[in-house]
Amino acid sequence: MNKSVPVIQATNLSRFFGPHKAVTKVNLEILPGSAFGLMGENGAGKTTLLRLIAGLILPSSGKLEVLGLDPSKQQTDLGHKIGFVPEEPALFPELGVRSQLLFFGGAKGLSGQNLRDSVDHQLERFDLTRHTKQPCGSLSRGLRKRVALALGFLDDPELMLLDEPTSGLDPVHRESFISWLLKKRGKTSWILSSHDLEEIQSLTSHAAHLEEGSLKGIETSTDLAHLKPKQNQLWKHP
Amino acid sequence: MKVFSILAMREVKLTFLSPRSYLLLSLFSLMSGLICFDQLRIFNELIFLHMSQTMGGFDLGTLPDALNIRRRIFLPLMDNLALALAALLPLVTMQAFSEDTTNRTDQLLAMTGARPISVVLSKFTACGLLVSLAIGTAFLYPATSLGHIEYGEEQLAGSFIGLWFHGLALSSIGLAASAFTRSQVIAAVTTWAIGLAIWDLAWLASLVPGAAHILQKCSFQEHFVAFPDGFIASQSVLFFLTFIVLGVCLARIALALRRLTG
Repeated sequence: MNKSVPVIQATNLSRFFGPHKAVTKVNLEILPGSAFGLMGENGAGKTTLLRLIAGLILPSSGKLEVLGLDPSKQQTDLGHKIGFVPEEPALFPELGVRSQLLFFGGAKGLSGQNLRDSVDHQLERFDLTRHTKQPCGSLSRGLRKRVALALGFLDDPELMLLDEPTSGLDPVHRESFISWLLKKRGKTSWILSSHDLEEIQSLTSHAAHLEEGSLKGIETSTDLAHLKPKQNQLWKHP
Repeated sequence: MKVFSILAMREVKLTFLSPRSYLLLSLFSLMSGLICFDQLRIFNELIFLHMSQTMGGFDLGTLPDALNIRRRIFLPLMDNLALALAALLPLVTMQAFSEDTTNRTDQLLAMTGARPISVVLSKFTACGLLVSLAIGTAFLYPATSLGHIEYGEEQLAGSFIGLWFHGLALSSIGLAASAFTRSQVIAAVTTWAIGLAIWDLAWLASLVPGAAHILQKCSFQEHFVAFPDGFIASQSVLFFLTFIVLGVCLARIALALRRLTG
């Protein structure tokens, strides 16, 4: 990990879908080794921001550098350095769990024993060893999410983009994932989007609040305690 | 190269897992057999008529032009099979990119760091393999029925090489159509429309009278004529290769545009 280059450097970053402003003039700098959270209501722009960082979509205006690379021009190089776990797991339905990981790792440039070891490690890590041959199209949502997490972390990326990483996971695997991720703190950088305030607090050091595509502020996660909603109330940033 | 072979392997598996591919293979082989049989039947009837007019005897040197084997068998066989390919191939190419879009696995592919051109070429390789297999199996009946008379082998081989190039060009167009839309139906209809329109652009000459010659030169059919002569004209090969490259480039551009449109 290059400690001198910010993980994310966004300047006036905007993304519009027609008249809809999904992300508006976001200025953000995230340092290496950070665990950073994104919070906000549905449609606030969290997923769009993550997709911009992953290079899956291009900014309408502004400048963005991820690990010192321009995602719009260097997506291929960036693909080898970052992992992305979308909220809804996208998997090749015809491939079995193990084949899925082998294919993904191979396409990422891993090969031979290194690839097989990484795949076996991930299968064990995400408790998928009993499902290795099951086609991903026939898996439950929770299992698909675990496969998506295994794919995201397969080649130990420098930066992980996690969009609602624990949604769909059962409590046991949720806790297991959170405690495992915490052990990686400082070694890997991650940006995590979640509606779950406790998850943001436990997994990130700082969190940005997005509202209608705009960045409303960044706070340390410990300062977020006062944002806990009262029962039956929607969480709302002050 | 290694990443490309991994991507291509998956595409080939996916193509041959699809029942549509087997539908194409079986229908195309069946049509090839039926059309070839029918052309041979008509040719035999004409030969018989000619024999009856010449009191039973003739030699190859005195055969009228109406009994030209190229005109009576190979050209119609190639024309009909080319149209059959244009009708069947979009059923396979229509799912090339739209399937990935629907499952959002296009994002998964993007996150591997694989170059978009590798993704396009891997899909083209799978389609190309299917086309080659379809042409190969369709070649069997005409080859066995004409092979034993030891006449016209070069013309037959030329016809099927022409069909192969035509199939590859259609695959490329089909991939581009699939990359530009999320709908499989739109992709298929677009490929049919383009494939049939380019088949014979002479119909456009009435609308653009000054460009009649150019339009004719841009028609697939125009470039088919050389193949049943039993030789491979570099101009025609270049024409089909241009279409193949154009289709691949358009599909690559479509992938780039997806990042713009989201």
